[in-house]
Amino acid sequence: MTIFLTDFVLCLATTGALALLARPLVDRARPSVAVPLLAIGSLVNAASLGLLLSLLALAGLAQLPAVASAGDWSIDVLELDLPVPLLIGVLAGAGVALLLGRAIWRAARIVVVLGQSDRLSRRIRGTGGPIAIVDTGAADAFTLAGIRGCVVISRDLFCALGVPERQMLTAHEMSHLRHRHHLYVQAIDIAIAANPALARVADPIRLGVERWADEDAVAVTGDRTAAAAALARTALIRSALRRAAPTPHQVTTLPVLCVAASHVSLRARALLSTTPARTALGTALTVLLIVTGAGTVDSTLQFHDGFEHAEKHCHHAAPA
Amino acid sequence: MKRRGPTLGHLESAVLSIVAAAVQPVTVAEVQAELPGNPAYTTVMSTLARLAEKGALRRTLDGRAYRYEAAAPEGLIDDALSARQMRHLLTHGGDRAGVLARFVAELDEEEEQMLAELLARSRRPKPKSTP
Repeated sequence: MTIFLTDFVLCLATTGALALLARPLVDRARPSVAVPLLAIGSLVNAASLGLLLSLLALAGLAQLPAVASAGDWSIDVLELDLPVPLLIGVLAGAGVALLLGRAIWRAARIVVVLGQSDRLSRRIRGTGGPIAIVDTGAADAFTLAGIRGCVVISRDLFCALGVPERQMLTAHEMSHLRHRHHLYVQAIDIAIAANPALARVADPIRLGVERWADEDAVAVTGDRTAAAAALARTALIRSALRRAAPTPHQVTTLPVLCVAASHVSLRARALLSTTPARTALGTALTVLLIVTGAGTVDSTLQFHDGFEHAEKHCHHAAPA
Repeated sequence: MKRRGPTLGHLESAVLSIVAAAVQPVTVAEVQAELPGNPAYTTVMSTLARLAEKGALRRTLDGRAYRYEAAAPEGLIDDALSARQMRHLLTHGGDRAGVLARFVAELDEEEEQMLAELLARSRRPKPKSTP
């Protein structure tokens, strides 16, 4: 059980590390490295936690005669090999059921909205290209996710922009489309449903995908200062247009946007600073993730051995 | 086989952004001049032709050279169903489910001021010393 406890603590430590290091990592590392590392790391961490809790639940509940007889396990041997109190097992079982349920619910919701967004982007694209200039009420520009997806820019905004701003805007949105950035945002949403302690990783990932697209856009605008200026000018023009012509379905009431609001100045400042480079933070986090992953596998094997040992009729499957 | 997915290459993506951002239909030379890193004329030409074949760009013959413009399905959102779907996604958590990525969100006063200052600073002439 010491191995299991070590692995469990390690898993929780990884959760803590992800939550604490997400923001510094996005600030310092290249966003195209930081975002996938954080998103995949969070998914792996959430899966580890789920697996470890399941093992605990299984070992604890196997103390019940009904469960033990169903698995044909000897309770005495189990108690010796995997001493997990029944109460801990019940709690772990309830916890894992709740977290898994949340994750499935979240994933299902994402699939539904993604389907809506895909159908809409098909309608908007029609047979044309991925960039659509449309006559919506409010000045806005965004990328819609989908199998092909599309970039939607309102005519008001597009016409109010100069050529450098348009280049920055279209290159930024094309980067979202090309790298399917929505997948990272959705991955972290599911990971948080399965492990709520990862909540603090969500905002850095949202900032990270915007930064990623900004960095890609620099490759088109050619110079970081010009890109930062174009971003700032577009934000101000959009704001001014919206103030001048408020529309009934403005989305200012959405709470999530308040969080995202602070990102524009952060992004502009990041563009004005030097090009992000490799950092030791990313490497450290990668090592920690690999160690935790290996630990979870190790614990699983240990529990598997424990259950196999406790089997009353020793019909161990011959190794393939 | 028609290629599916937004799997445009880096150059295609950059070229498309430049053509879409242009005020008028552009020639190969104009796109080449805008692209950083001095790509070859023929590379830009074949990229533009490929994008036109994919339907992402429209090209028209102007004298002896092609001019390209974004084949954006303009104004299609006017149709009532799309407009309603769009409003639905915008107000019912499109960004919460991560399907909608805005270029810039709402600004508060402090942020507007900060951005205005940043712009004023970047307009000031500065010694050109980019490595």
